[in-house]
Parts: sequence; structure tokens; C-alpha cells
Amino acid sequence: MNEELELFCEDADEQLTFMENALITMQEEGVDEESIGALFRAMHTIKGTAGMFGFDAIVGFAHVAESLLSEVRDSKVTLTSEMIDLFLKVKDHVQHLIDLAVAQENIDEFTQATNDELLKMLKSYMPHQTEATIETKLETNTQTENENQKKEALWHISFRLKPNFFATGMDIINILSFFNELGEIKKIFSITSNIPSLQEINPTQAYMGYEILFLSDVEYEDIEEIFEFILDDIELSIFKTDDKERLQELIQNSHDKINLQEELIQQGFYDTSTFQKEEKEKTPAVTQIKTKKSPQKEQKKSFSLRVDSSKIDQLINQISEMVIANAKVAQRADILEDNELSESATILTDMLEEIRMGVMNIRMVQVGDSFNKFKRIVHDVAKKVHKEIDFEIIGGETELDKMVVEKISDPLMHMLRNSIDHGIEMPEEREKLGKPKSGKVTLTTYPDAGTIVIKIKDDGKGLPKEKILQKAIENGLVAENNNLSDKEIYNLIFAAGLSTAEEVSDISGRGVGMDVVKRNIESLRGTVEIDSKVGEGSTFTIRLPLTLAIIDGFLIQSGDTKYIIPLEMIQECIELDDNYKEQMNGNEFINLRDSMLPLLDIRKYFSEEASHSERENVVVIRYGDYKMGMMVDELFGEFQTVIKPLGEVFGKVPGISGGTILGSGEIALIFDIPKLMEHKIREIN
Amino acid sequence: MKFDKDELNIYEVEALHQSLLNAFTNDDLLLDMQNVNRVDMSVIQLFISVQETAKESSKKFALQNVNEELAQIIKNSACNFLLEESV
Repeated sequence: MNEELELFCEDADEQLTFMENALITMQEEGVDEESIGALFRAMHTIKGTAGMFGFDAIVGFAHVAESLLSEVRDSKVTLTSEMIDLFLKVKDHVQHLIDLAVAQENIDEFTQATNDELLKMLKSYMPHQTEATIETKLETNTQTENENQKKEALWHISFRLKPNFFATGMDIINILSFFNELGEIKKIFSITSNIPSLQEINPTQAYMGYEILFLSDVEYEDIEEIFEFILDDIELSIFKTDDKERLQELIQNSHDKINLQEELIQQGFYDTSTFQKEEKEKTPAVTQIKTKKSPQKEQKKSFSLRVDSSKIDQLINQISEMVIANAKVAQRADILEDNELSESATILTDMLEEIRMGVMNIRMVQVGDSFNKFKRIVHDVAKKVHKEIDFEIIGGETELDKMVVEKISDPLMHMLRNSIDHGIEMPEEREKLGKPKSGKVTLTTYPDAGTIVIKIKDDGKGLPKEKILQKAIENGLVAENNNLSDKEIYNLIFAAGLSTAEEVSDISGRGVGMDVVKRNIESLRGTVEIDSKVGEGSTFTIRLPLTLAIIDGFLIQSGDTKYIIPLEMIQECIELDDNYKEQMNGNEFINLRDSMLPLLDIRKYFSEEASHSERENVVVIRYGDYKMGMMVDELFGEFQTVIKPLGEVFGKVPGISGGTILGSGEIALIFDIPKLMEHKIREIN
Repeated sequence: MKFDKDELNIYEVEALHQSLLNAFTNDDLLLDMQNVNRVDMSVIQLFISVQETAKESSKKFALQNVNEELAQIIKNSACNFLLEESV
């Protein structure tokens, strides 16, 4: 896919998501004028940009939807709940049309039937409108708006296609047509003087340009947006016709083979007097302009920038390698006892840390933007199973790595569906139980000790513990005389093939899915826990690491092996002195300031050789609600850890989540704290 | 010269350029656009090049049998002069 098309997809995706959120909000909180206006603009933008790419099917369909939205905006048609549902379908269909257009696939029969059906439904809300009036309606609207709202201005738009313009796949004729959507082209002429003769022309290169006089009430940014997808492929100048400085600059910088000034006069853009007055001030004007050049444009550019995420990944990889290389330099400086080199390495470490944080921040996005789409899913599922759901997202401003957000999306969607389908009771049943008719489902996100917690909580019937256990026994997943805790029983729902749903619906209940959910979460180095109370509801708690590439680690040694503990999980380090050893008396517990702290002997767990260290230490870690002490030998301190996968052979060693390369070239293994914690809890139970 | 295709665009423009170069050596260039409904800017640009070159060589160049749809595209591209016959 070329860059322009990618931008189009991203832009359309944003508009459609925005549209969906506005519709869902109106469905829940009632119709408001602002959202209707925003809906109209979203559909209008999609239509316009699709037109630039010549996606006629999208333009045709979006046009009718836009017409109805325009009627709604003008209060000629009232937006009902049924219409909101219809517009949600419209949104889905437009998305599908875009997917087809981008994949250069033809519209299949099914899509065509959906298209026709939706058009029929949209038009049924505009019975007094004929095709022709729908066609002219929008133009009239634009005119009325023009009269009512802002003052029109005459803009001069000048652009030259860069030689490689045709490689963009964009047709400038479609872009020119889009001007009519925003205003009126008063005058236009093409610059053809730069086109070589038939013998000399390279027909795949672009040589043309345009001068346009455009009357509109829109702002500079709106006009620039017309060229959004080709800004790098043209030389563009936009200014109001009374901006003489910009006009002089345009003429001064012209590389055309014609005299642009004369041509502009001849075509009636300006009269001769415009240039006579300016002639005297020509030189200073140009110098001034250079510093003033399109302030709006620069402001906008510094506001946001779309970058392919793979470029950021590449940057992170390179920084990771630099971190490793710098660790080598630092170690070498220590060996050579070279203070200057050591100081330089320290400065470099600090700088790398800052760059790392900066790059990591680029990847961080607010989860709310992505989670808002669940509103639609909840709405659709609830409707399908005839339940009423009050869905709330809390902590949408929490930031998480974009890739993690994307990968967690499917598991969350599945869990939400399950909560609604199985967790929440039917409205009548809830009323009988004295609960509110609407079931409450909350999606809460917050940061906690170097991790991000995502909770899905419902106030439904809770998990049927006995039924799950019975099913697990039947399937041979657990023995009959087991001694499982409640949490362990709930966790059985993540086992493959275990579904307790009596009826298999098309939403959930096939027993596939929850195992995949768990696997997906674990692939992100996350964990999932379930808490449930019969009659009160269930809570699924997902805990995810903040980032996936580099972490702040704490380097320790046990036996002959060096290990890394994620720094943010560490609460404190204490020496395991004789007092503590006496307390232990052969058990793996110590009394730490009047509370019992379970200990995990790393040397024993990983079958390490005897300690070479004179003293033993305990690193106290916290993960979620649990605390544990890890008995280790040496403590080396903080270490920027670049996480490297361990490969297939060592990838599944319990308690190890990855490896890292130390400055000396040695390998250190990164602890999988949730797994070690789980082992300890199981051992205690 | 007559075209079979409904649309002429960047994908055909190199071949079209070659055909026009070949045809140009002989006679006047009269392009029968009867079957063509759409052209893109690369083709329009090539036509402008032919028109200018023909003018300089005092040859005749014209787009003939231009249908309404195609004429509109040419007008939208502000290249109406292509619809005029040039000698």
C-alpha cells in the first residue's frame, strides 16, 4: 500500500471510530447538536477523501448518508434510536467498502445487497427528497452556512506537481474536484509551459501546475487539508489574495518557463496596479516573508505527526543495542580504572536513558482511545441477547504501549462478551433478585507497581464454582479428590475445551476462546486472575507490563548465574543475617516487621551450585496483592535491561521470561515474577 | 489513431507515448477518443505535449469524438484548450 493510501486508511479509520463513539454516546446519553454536526463532518470528510482516490462506490454511498445527516442537523428529521442503529450499520458498511477499495477488490453480491438495503433505509427517512434534491441539498447547505456563519475570503492557491507525483497514485483531477465541496473556484488555469516536447518528455514524470482563485469561508488549514495526502509531492502555496507579500514571494520563487506575473494578470487574477505598488518594496518584502512563511502550517505540523510504528520499533532496537554497547564501555572503563572514560560512560548512560524514555513515550497511547470501541461491541451484544447493560470505562487516560493495547484488544473483547452473555442475568431475572434491571459492566484501567492493571467487573450471577469443577473432573483436567482453592477453580475456565454454558450461542459458549485469551495475555508477559462471588458478579484482573522492549532491572546473582528482577516490583533488599536464619528454623518464611514473608530460594529453585558469596540477601518483591522474598547471593544494583527472547529451547523454562546481555558479554536471565509468585503460592497452599 | 480502452492512465502512458512518437513522424495526429471515457493527468499532460509539438511542426493535432464524460474530465483539469483543434 502506498503512503497516501495508508494515510487515507488511517484518516478514515479515525473518522469512523469517532463516528461510532458519537453514535454510542448519543444512544446512551441522548442526542446533542454538537455530536450531530461532528457526525456530519466525519461522513463529509470520508466522502471527500474517498473522492480524491476515485473510490466512487464509497463517495456515492457516503453522499446519501451525509444527506440524511444534513437533514438531521437542520432539524428536518429527528434522530431516533433506530436511526442511530442504522448509522452504526452505515459506519460498518463504509468501513467494508473502504477495505474492498483499498484491496482493489470488486464489490461482491452480498456487499451490493447490503449497500442497496442501507441506501433504501437511509432514503426512507427522506421521503420528500428525490435523487436530484439529495444531490443539490448539500450544495444549498454549504451556501446557507456560508451566508449564516463566516465571511468568505478569496484565496490564491498555487501548486506545481513534483516530478515523481504520479508515483503517489493520486489523480490531481479528483483533488481539483474536491474544491467545489468547500467553496467556489472563481478562476483556474493550468501551468503547462514546463511540459517538454513529445520527443523529450518522460511521460511518467509530472510537469504541470495550477493557479486557482478560490472563494470560500474556510480556513487555511481546511484548504491545506485538500492536499493532505500529497503535501510532500507538490510545491504548494496558499494565501489570501490581499496578501501581497506572499504573492511577491510566489512570483520571485517561480521556476516556470512563462512569466507568472504576466500570466496571472492576463488570466484576470490580479490587475497590473497590484504589482506596481509592490515593485518598490520588493526586496525587503521577500526577506520578511521567509521568516513568516505559513505560520499555521508549521504550528499544525508540530502538533502531531504520523509515523509508521515499525520505524519506532527499529529505533528502540537500535537504542537497545546502544545500551548493551555502552554497558561494555562502562565495564571496560572499570577494568582499566580510567576515571575519565568511566565518567563519559556514565553521562552516556544518562543520555541513553533519556532517549529511551522519550522513544518509549512515543509508543505510549491512552487506552481510552482504543477501549471506546468496546462501547459498540457491548451495545451490539447486549441487543442481541436482549439484555440491558450499563457499561463504563474508568481510567481511559492511562497510558500503555500501543502494541500492547492492540494485542490486548481481542482478549478484552472476548471477556466482555462473556461477561454480558454469561455473567449478566436477563432483566426479568435481575428484577426478581432485587438487582437493577440493567447489568453493570465496568472496564477499569490503572497503573500499579510497574504494571498496568485492567479489570473487567460485572454485577452478574458470578461463576458457578461447582459446575466448573464438575466439568473439569469430567474432562480429566483435575483429579476427583483435588484440593483446589477458589481461585484455582476459577482459573480452570482458561483450560482448553471447558465451557459451562448450557446453550451455545454465537457469541460465546463454545469453550474455545478463554484458553486463547490467557495465552494472548501471557504472550504479553501479563497475567490474568479471576475473583467471583455467586450472585454478586465476577472480576477479571489482567496485569500487563508497561513496555515490552527495555525495562529497568535489578541485577543479582545466585550460584553462578546472574538474574534480572524488574526494578519496579522490588520493595526493598535486606541481608539474610543469622537472626533471620534462626527465625526460619528450616522453613521458608521470615518475620519482616511483624508480618510473615514467604521466601523463595532461587538457588534451590533453579538448582544452582553452592553460593560463593559471604552473605545472603533477600529481595522483597510485590506483585499485585502478593509479597514474596527472593533469597539470592549477590546484589549488583540497577541495570538497564534490554529484553531478548530466549528462543524455543529455553523459552518455556518456568520462572524465566527472557534474557539480556551484560556489558561483559555474559547473559543474565530475567525472572518471570508472576510465574515464580504463582509457584510459591501453590507451594504454600 | 484509435484507442480500444475505456480508460487511459499512467499504466498505459509509456506505451501511448511510444505510439504517438511513431505516429508523429508521418502525418497529422488525429486521435479518435470514441471508446475512451476516462483519462488521468499523465495522459492529459502527454496530450498537451503533443499539441505543443504539433504546433511547432505545423502539424495538425486534434482529439476527435470526445464524449461528454471525457470532455468534463478535461474541463475539470482546466485544459479545455485540448478540445480545440490545433493546426
